[in-house]
Amino acid sequence: MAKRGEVVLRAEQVVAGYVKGLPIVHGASLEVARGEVATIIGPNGAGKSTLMKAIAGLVGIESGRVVLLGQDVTGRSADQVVNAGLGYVPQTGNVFTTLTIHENLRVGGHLLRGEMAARLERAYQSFPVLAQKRGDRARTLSGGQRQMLAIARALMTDPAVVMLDEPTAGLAPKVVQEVFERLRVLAGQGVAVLLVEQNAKGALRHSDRGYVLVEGRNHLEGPAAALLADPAVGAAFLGGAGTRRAAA
Amino acid sequence: MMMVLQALADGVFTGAIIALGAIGVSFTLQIMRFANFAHSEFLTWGAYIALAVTLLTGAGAPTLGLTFGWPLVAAALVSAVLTGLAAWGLDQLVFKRLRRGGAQPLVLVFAAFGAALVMRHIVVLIWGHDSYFYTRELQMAVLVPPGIRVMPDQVFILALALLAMLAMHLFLTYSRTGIAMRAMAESPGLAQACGVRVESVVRTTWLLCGGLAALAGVFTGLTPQLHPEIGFNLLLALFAAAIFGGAGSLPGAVIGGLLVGIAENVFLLVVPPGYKPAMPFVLLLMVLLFRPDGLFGEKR
Amino acid sequence: MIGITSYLVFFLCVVLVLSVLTLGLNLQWGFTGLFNAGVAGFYAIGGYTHAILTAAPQPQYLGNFGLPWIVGIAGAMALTALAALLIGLLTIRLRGDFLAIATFGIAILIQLVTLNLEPLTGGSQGLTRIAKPMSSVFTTPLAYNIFYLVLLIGVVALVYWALGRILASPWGRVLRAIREDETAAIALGKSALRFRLESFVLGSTLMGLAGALYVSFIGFVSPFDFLPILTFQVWAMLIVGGSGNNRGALLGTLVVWGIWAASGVTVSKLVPPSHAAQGAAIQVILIGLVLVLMLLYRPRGLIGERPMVSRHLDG
Repeated sequence: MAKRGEVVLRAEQVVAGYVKGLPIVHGASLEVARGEVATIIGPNGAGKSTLMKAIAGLVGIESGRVVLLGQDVTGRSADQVVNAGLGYVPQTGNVFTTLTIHENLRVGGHLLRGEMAARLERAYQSFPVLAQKRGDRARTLSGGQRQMLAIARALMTDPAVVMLDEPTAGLAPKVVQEVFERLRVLAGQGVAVLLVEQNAKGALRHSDRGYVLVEGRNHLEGPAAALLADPAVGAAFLGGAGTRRAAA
Repeated sequence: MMMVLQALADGVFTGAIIALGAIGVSFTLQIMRFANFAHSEFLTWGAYIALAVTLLTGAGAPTLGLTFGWPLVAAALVSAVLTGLAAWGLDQLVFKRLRRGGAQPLVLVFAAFGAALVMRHIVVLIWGHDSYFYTRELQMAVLVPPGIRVMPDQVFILALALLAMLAMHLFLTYSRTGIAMRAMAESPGLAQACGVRVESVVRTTWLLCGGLAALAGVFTGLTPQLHPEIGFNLLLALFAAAIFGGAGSLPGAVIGGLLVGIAENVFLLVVPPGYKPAMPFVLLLMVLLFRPDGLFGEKR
Repeated sequence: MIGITSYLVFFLCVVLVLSVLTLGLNLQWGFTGLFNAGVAGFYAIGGYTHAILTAAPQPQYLGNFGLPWIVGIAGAMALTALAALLIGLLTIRLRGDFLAIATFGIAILIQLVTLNLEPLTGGSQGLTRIAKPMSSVFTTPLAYNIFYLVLLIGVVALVYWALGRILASPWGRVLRAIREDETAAIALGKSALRFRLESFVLGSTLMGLAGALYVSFIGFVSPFDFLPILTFQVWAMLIVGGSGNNRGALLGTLVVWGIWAASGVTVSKLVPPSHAAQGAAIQVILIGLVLVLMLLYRPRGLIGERPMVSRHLDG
């Protein structure tokens, strides 16, 4: 088992929700290390997306802490958290459809000073399909291409941590594979990758670590392989037959 | 036939001015997410601030066959800066506080009505109801084939307006802040996740929209006079143009403005002059009923 | 002494007429969430209809049928209701601020019509010789005004009571539910639109009634009684008093009109007549500031039950 790198993102007992006083996340904790892919799985309504948005600064945190690269970023606005070293790819609305690919990447690099040209080149090299269509509006892209653009956009700032909310939702199997492989490559370069996935089995197979979130709380966690092998997890969350809990 | 052509030409000239004002309405509608009824008063303030500057410096000896000289252009630019600051100031004093308190957009609209009233009457307080002129120079119309009468002032204004629109377009397309503005216009959450600071974009939006409105106000005041109602009289036209073109779209606001200007003038041929102010409203109503997202607007 | 009493009576009459306007607006905004920025327009329709029906006939005007007062009142309400129905059908689906723009524009359009349709409306001169009810019985201005004051108190009390009953009825409860809960509104779908339309029409009918009451009090009508600032003043009354609460509407009307009248008197005493326009401007600036400050610092209004700012979600 490879030695785990330094922890770059830590959420401690986070309580968060869209409306103050009505939390959806009831004290969840997780950590992600450099070079590691961690996946959050769980039933619908468990608060996985909400937790991610809270870490990103898009949803209010009522109590608990978020520490990014040693800095306490709890309660900071989303742009400040991005500035501190986070990249975030939401599930929906993750590209600017009215802007071109090139413009999307430029917005992704909004915080860059002087490295814009180099980063753009790097993005086009990593994602040749984007280079081909760079002048086209993002709305003309297919689902898989949009996801690539969303990821490329988030990588423009060279974040230490990248969070992706259901990156493979609605994509063809071949594209799903490509997404997971890219994320592994990314981790190999030292980036900490955090995923929320409904496609639990597939995600865990490509992850190092897993967290099972149920009703806004930690239920299980551990190395991905162990979770995959655990019959309790398998029955409830990996069977594909849904869960017995109704969506909140 | 000649009358229709004349109406078309006049329509283009007024339309360009309406377009300048409509750009501001369009972007505040999309980025600030409310109908800013005080926008018309940015035009009025823009016109009167420039007037104040020219009273100090003079409008300049007439050059190039215009009724005014470069000092007026300079005054217009000064006014654009000051009006932009005033617009931002209004946001800081009123709208931002209401936003922070969680106000519904309708409350912002209402506060804008109130602000508009106050702004308009501050002008009345200082200047009174009488008309003012930037310059007393008279101008002869020039005959352009195939027989349309055109004032040199109108041509110059049109050129300046187009220049301003072009500058805005270049800014929005190529500059970091401009692209960030367009990003925020589409999705504030995603823009923030890219590191765009909301308050920065908000400030830029007010400065630019106020500045463009000021130019539109000066141009309106030139053709041919200033009075405290000049902005208010254009309010419905501005909204008609902005909504028709689609909120948040520069080309939409420009096309909308030109169309509103042309429609107003063409319909003047058939409708009694007393009803002229009704024209933009009828257009607005039709846009709202049939295509509220506008030509180029994105659904919110 | 008579001077002050007479002024006070006049003042109260105007306040009562305006409170009918505010009650109508409260139904539309406070209870249904509709932003009607064209209050002055419906007020005008009511006022002019009453005038055209009841004014003494004159050769240069098409209308002026010299009909009895009560016919004028009924006709004003009926025509305003019809106009509100048509306007509502066109605009009720519009998003909040678009509804505001649309109704604002309609009020401007109505004002333009009153200015231009001279054979009917008298143009900028307006219409005169509108019969005042019972004017033969109460011959002195003061006596007549006191009579009218009593009449208005009766009318306002009746309207207030009727609104109370309507809002407590099943119809009223559904209306409240729609206002409180957007998802309920969506679930009700088309019916929610119907309720909104009915509320819009009812509220506007009250505004038409107010117009008729005003015009028959004053004895003449002109386009300048129905300027956009009036819409603003009525909104101010609602915001100051507190929306969603009919008592608030009445209180707000008294307070705002009181401020307006007091500032008018103060300004006319302090500002020389040559600068009357500037003096009027001060009045408007004052009321605008009162409004905006109210929104910023006391959005609930004086005795309002629901804040216009910050929606609280229950449960």
